[in-house]
Amino acid sequence: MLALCVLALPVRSEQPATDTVAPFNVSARLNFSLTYPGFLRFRVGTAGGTVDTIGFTVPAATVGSSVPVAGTGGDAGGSSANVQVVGNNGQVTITATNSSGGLGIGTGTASDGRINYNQISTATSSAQLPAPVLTNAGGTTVQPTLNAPLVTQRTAVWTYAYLNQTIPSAGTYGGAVAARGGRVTYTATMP
Amino acid sequence: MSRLRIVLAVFAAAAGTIGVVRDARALTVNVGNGAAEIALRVGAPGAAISTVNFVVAAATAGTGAPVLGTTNAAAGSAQAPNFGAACAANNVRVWARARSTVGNARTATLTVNGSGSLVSGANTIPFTDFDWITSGGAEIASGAFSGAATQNLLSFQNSREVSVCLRYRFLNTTVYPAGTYTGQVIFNFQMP
Repeated sequence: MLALCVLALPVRSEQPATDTVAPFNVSARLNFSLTYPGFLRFRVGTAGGTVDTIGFTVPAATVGSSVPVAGTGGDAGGSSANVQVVGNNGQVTITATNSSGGLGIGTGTASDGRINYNQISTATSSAQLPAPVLTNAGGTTVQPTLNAPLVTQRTAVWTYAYLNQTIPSAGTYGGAVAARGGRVTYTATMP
Repeated sequence: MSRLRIVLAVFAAAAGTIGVVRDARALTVNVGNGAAEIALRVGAPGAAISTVNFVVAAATAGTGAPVLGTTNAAAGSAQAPNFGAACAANNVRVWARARSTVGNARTATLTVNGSGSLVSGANTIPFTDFDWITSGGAEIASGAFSGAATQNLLSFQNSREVSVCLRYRFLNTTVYPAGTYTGQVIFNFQMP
């Protein structure tokens, strides 16, 4: 006994593909190729080249009272900054350093003393994008939560406060002059 | 083979001689009743499979700014004799023709299978992240891959020939791991 089986496969070897036998069935293929780059984007505060300054003004009546002082100047309003990190090649690590050389924030006059970075708190609006704790020594790190294997795409608002737990000498500490130690640099790295 | 014969006789009567045939011309048009057939072309004619390429810039990856695909001129070349002009640059021509025998109307249907994904190692990008803009022809409107295995693109009752030019785009709304991703969609044209 001999059994024959004929399969009606779509014709697609040459274009235009044709078929002259019912039921008629032809197919054609189209290839797609996409090159996707490895990249890491990171932003704290205003996008672009602007370095935002968060300013705190402590009233004389409450100096050293441990009543936190909110700031101004953040791009998210008050003492808050918009933060975004996007990357696609593994776990991102964010490291905070500062320009104080480990000494804390000064006025530019050594005899005025310094304000320790532990007096500046940072709260985040998203547990998936935590903020590094600021210290005089710097080097503290956080790791945003991956969205998918290799991929991070997180946004948050980081809000700063002056904790006001000490009594420094009067003066203006930090600011745009990096040598006073008031500049914090956040660096994102990815494998 | 059956033939349709149309005989057109034109009689001209000279003034003043009504009723007298002075001249006559005849035109005969024969329409052949060939065998039923369907035909399909997607991209370049010939054996090669056309490729649409996308290159995503690092500065805009995942921002939602669509990335236009590119391809070679052959993918959008003319389809003679009825579509003699090439598509605009970087467009893919989709051309289909269905013909049936006299008194045997049938409906031809073009579908596309975009249920797969582009693959780069263990990483994938679904075809639902791609759409197209129709720049020539109207039978296939601008749209996007639905992810269905038989996404209907057009259907018509024969006999008819249609052609459109499509510019594909990567929608770029999601961040993916770096890599070179490749994939394939299959167009299928059927008639009972």
